[in-house]
Amino acid sequence: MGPLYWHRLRDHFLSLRVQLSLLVVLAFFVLNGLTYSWRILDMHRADVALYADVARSFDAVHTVADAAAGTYRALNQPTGTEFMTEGGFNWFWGTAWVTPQMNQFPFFYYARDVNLWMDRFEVLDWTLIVKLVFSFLCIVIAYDGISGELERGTLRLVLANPISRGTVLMARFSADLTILLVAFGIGALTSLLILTLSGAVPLTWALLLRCALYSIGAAVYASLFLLLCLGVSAVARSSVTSVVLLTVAWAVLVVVVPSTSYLIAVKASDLTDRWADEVWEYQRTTGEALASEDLLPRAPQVAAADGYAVERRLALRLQEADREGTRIGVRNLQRQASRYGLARAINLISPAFAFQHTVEGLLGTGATKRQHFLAQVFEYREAVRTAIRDRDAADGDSPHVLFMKDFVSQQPMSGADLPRFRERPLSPAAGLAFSVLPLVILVCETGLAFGFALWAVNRMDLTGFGVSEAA
Amino acid sequence: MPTRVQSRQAGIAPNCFPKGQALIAVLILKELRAHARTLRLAVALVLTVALCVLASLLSSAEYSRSVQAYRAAVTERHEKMAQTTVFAQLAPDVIVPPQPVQLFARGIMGATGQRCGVDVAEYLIAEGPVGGALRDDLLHTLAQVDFAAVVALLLGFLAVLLGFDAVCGEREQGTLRLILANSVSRGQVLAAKLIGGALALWIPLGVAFSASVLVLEANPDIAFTGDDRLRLALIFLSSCLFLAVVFCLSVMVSAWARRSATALIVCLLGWLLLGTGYGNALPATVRYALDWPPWQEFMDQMEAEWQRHDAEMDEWGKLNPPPPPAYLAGLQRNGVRRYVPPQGLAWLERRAAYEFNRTLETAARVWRHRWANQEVLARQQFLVDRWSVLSPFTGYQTVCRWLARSTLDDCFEVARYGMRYRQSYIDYLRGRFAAEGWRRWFTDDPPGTPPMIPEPEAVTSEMLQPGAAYLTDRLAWAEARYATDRLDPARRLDLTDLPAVGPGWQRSLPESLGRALPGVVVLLLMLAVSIGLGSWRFSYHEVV
Repeated sequence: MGPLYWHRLRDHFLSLRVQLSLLVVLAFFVLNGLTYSWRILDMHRADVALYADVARSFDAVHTVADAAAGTYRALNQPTGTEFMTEGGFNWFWGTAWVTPQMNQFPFFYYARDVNLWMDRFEVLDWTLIVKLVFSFLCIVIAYDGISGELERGTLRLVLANPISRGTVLMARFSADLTILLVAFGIGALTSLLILTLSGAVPLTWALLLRCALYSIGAAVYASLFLLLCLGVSAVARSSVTSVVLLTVAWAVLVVVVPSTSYLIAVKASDLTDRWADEVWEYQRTTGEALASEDLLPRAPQVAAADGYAVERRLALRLQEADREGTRIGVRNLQRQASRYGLARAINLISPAFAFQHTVEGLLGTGATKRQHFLAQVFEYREAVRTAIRDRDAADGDSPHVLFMKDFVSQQPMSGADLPRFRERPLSPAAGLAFSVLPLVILVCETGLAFGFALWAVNRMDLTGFGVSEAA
Repeated sequence: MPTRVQSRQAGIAPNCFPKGQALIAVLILKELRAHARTLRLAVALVLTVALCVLASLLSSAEYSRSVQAYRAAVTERHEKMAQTTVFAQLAPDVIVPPQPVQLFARGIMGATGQRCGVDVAEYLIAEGPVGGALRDDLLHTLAQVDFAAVVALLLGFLAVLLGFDAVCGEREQGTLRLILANSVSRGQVLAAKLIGGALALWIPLGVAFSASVLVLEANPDIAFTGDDRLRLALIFLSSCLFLAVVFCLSVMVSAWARRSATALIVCLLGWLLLGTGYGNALPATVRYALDWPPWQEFMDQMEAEWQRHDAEMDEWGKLNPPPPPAYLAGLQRNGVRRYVPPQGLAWLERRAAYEFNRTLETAARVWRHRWANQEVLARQQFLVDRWSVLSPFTGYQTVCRWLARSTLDDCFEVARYGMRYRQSYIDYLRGRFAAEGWRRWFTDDPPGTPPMIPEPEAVTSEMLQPGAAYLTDRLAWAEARYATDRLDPARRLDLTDLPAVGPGWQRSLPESLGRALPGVVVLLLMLAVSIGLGSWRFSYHEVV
């Protein structure tokens, strides 16, 4: 197998297609490095104003009452590996405004600047390059891996030697994979170089470890397509037929299947377009109902006369409304996530997305990071409430009607006493758990491709090679 | 003399030499038949039609939901306006229906209805979609396919695969010299190849297009007007042009390449770079290469403008001090004041008149800040639209979007109409208030309504403290009165002469064509250059 491998490798390096493919890969990675360095540096600049805005709400807090009436902002953080896989970080909600007051659901929105006016495009991260460009290049490099040699007549000569067909296949495959990994390596290093030199991404061992993990995933994905190409090449017997079948398979797997998932998910789900409004409607109608029952906070002096009876009843009702509103809001958020989950499941059929979800899980980004952030926002709200409740409980003069501004402690409290939101990144174990299913699918598909290629090569009939038919 | 086998492969009956023009027709038919029998055409036909039909079915269902959302929004607006009793709360939003042609090229409008909020205090640069389609940040990351995308991807691919071995493949097989051995010029042979290939490509295009249109027509919610049908025909013609361009480009590569394997590699890589590559690299680069000011900057500026507005109102309040509180006391429910004594009403009217003009000025200043902040974002998409002409794949999709009126500029066209409508609404308000006074801005009490406080000069401030007996008594009177008054039809706003939403909110066909023209011209230029270069090379081609 060794000589076959080196022979094919040398052929590749001398061939036009590999040289052109290397150029294409390099061009994409250079663009990736440039666009991400611009973007990350812009994000650093914009984040200064963003953090100032977050800090502003804490600076306005001087008493416990101020704290109870304040609105505090939670902000998510990039993982630092967005250039490898964006994982939707540029699109998913990344900020929330929470208030300790009852019956006020947190408001989620885009954190950093998004351009809602641009037609949708794919961000040029490594995952896009591997998904689209590399799989295509697999076809370009390996479409005639077996059929080309068959047509030239040299395959018989090779197989006349005492080596198994499986060995020939593995030699081809290894040489092709080496080329692709070399191309990926050069491209990735170029991109990392641009990012590091521009100061956008600090080079650490952790980052390099992540890059290594990523490369393993990319190698599995490339193997899948290479084995598929070699298998089809063996089945088709003619290079032209082979390239047609492969490009069709590529189009179906990488582009067609994922493009149907949006429409199917929207059709299959009963979520209306105004799903996010349900909780605001509930809050509004509850507020109106309470107002119509005259359950409104009175002036503090008036209320003190009867021990804040009305206010306490109001607080109880608001607490119930808060629980119910949170239940409605969280349920709708979950329904939104499961509608997306359906689209994601359809996408998983495509190996391109199996690969994408695997690396998203490994790098701790993707929709799971978003869900984790949403859950942490609710935890944060509870933490803020607990902090205010404890300070209020320590004050004996306070009426303890939570969380109404005029009816809690008026003792001094500063913003520093309130917890700040810090996003906890997904733990590696959690990330791994989310990447298990896509990884299993990817590995199974690769195994199937391997079996297919082996079967195709072994069943090839080398005798009577005649006129090639136009495909 | 060619052998029977080789002649049959060349598609020409042996011993048959038709003369002149008839030969080119034979050649074209031969090319057409050769292509039609290939596996690639059959597979591409099936795949394209299947995907187009699937996309049409699902888009049709989504469109029905958009239409429902639009109808619900119009009904809701109508009901709300019928129940509004003061102009300050009137929101005569401009709501325009979804356009079915956009199902063929989604763009940013995405075949949903659009709503322009009309508000004295604020006007936006662009309208928003009816139905809140923007709310889903998760779904936005999924690809949405439309007819133009399917054609650009699958049929564009097919065009590349049909064209790459048009010349060099035949040369390698040896059949090219058989054809050239006939009394036919090289130009005619190449022309036959180009025409035959283009016709072969237009077959699956025609089938897919017809299937899509039929599926959409079957939906009762979809009604194509005459203008829509014309636009659809133009989209079909653009698709034909696009496929011809891609085919001619790959035939040109085929003519220049020595071996069909080389031609294949160049064509495939060219497809990758110009299609998917350029289609994603251009927006990604433009998006992050252009610096945009942070949104927070605009929020701070808007905050400052409204604080300035509040300061101006305070200034006015100092120069025009309000009457004592007793003259302003009334029932405040849902933002509407009622049963205010006449002297207080007069002061409130003067204040409303002043505030109206100040609000308009503040809104204009806020709009300028907003545009300055967001102009770069719009420019990013405009640049993408403009530079998409460099690749036939993206250029074609942009032409389709111009024809379907789903580009960002078309979106702004609707918003510009909304702004014009807002201006006409403001003029209408001024006219009304000049004739009837400003009371209808903030109260729905007809003149002569008894006030809550009948003798304000006799009321002291203690009587007006919250919880005081006098105030409670008067509030109870006001509530009781309101319980009957709220059903009084005289309190409804008379909106019979409110400006109506008319046509003019979307581009006419000549205007759309004008916008699409640069893209079409570039496609035609690419066609001419590829045919020119290909035929020049083919004319001195060595066939031996």
